[in-house]
Amino acid sequence: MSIFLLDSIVVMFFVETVLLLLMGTSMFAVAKILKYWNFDASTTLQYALEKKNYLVNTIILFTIGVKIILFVFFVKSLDDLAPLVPGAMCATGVIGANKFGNTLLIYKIFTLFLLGVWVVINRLDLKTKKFDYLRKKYYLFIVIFALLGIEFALELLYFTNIPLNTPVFCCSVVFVVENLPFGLETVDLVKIFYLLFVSILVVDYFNKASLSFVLNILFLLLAYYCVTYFFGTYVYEEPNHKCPFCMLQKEYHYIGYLIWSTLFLGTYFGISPHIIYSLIGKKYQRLLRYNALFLTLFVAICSYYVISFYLRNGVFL
Amino acid sequence: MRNKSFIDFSVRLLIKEKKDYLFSFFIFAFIIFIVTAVLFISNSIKRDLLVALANEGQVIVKNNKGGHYAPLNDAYLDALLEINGVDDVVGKVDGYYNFAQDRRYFHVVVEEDLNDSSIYVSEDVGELLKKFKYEKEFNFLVKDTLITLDIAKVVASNIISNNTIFVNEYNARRVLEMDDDAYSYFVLKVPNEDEIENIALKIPKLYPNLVALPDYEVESDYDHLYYYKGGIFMILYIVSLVSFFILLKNQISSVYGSRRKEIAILRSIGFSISDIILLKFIQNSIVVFGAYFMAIILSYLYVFFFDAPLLRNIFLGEHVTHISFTPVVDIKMLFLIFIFTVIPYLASILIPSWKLAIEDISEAMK
Repeated sequence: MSIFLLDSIVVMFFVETVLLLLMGTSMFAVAKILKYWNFDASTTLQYALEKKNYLVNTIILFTIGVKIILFVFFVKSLDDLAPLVPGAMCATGVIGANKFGNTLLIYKIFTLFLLGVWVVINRLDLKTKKFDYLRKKYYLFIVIFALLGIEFALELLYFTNIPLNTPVFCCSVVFVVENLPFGLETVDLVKIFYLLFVSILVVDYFNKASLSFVLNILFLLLAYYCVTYFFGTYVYEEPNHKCPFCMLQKEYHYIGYLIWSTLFLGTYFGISPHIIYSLIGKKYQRLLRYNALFLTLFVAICSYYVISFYLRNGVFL
Repeated sequence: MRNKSFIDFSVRLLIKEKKDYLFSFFIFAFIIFIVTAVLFISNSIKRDLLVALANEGQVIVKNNKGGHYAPLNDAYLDALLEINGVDDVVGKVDGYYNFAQDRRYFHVVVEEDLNDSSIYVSEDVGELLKKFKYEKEFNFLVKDTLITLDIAKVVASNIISNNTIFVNEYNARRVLEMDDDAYSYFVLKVPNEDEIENIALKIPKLYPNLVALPDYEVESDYDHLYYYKGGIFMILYIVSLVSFFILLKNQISSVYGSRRKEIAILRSIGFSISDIILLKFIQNSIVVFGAYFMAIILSYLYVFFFDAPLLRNIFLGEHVTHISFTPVVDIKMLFLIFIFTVIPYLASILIPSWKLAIEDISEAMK
């Protein structure tokens, strides 16, 4: 497919290019800072570097804000593509249209997580009197910059390789076989889901970052399957409609955006304290509170659909 | 530092320095205005086409003989009715009448409510006929005779009904010189959506000369057409946007250069570098959002109240004079324009703001 087929894709590439250029220019400053930074020196160079530090921070914070907006926009563009790709009824077909699609989606979420971690480290760094974490922060940024470059290439590969003539699979085909992890039944899966949720709340209460890290990764995985195979059916009110993307559409009041964003935010706050600790050796458990908050919101929304369906119809699906 | 009064202060400062931003505000609003107007027009046209399509049946069948469309007859109609899953087959008469005096074609469409002696015409056809003194009635010139019909009503035209003359079926056959059992195309009603594709595949197998177009295929064709047109505009727009942002960066830099003293005072009373950057960011956000909303409201008025003079010719050609666009506002499209324009704008002011903020205080105060 030509990337010029859809306005939104052209626009997305344009904005991504702008961001990469901005970050590329700040890369020069980063290199200089990493090379010559010495907080105890009182040279002109050091003062200039400290000023450059502000620029780089501003640029990265701006990039992160835009990246989050662009991610929503990316998912929306996938929905727009659905009528153009034969066989696709929602983003499932479009994302599965070639081998790059699913990788790209997971990769995008991963880089967003990393950018989020960077923001927290940056905050901690600015709070210290002598910019203690400055070097680590910028090494992390170089990694992120490289990852974002790869993401751009991946995006280009993905969009240019969407076939417009051969039919792709629709969500009713992709998710029809219950492909659950560890050979579990749906009922067991949901039980574990709630159990895990409660244990995360307990762990958050006792501020155990490393345990929360493990549990949240497990929870993210399980929550994906639960929403797709169990809660989704209540959102759609149809036992055979299993799809993680259709709930992003207008017919379901865009509830998918709320469901997925609370899940990602929640697990992000659960995972990051441990990563931050292992990167810069500082405990920052306050984030675990938000972990509990967002995951509770997520579970509440999901459960609401099940309960309200039960109350209205007197049966489970 | 960063609280409500900080924002209040930035707004007051912005009002005081509004002259600095007027240039970028208006140029930027103009750019957004054009891109929004173009997208409003193409979305509205597309919507009208899709609505018209939805009112037709699920499968359209035409007779294609060696690349030319030929009329269909009752034998085909009976055969198509035999196909399982087809509820009803309606034969439609429609075609084009060449109005040689103005070298153009009128679309002849059947309207069942009309009687044998009158026609409806769309607004632009009515206007054209007036020029040729056909005010009350119109003469169709056909092979052996002249058919004179009364113009009963002039109807408002949108993209579908523009260029159209409505007649009843009897007159349509006479004007288009079609036999009583001939049809231009068939519309198949298929109640079960899952069967549409199969039926569309089956028809050419029964009769190789028949072309069956399912509704979703036509829809996707329309999409392709308008996405493509939109795509070209986007490329042109990127070129103009890039040059605008370079201009903006220089303009902002020079304006900020003259404000060095002011910023130095702010810094010396305790504003930090990031406060100054934030201050400039807030001010520019207000400018850019103001331009964005103003441009969108203006282009809404331009397209849907004044029917987009000049710009519509790009889409519809010179002949179309009387057309009204159906108002369609797509939130997705507004989001797209937002990302396309507002974000690069804010990106291009980051570096000038930073440069302003790091100015040496004692140097600037001299």
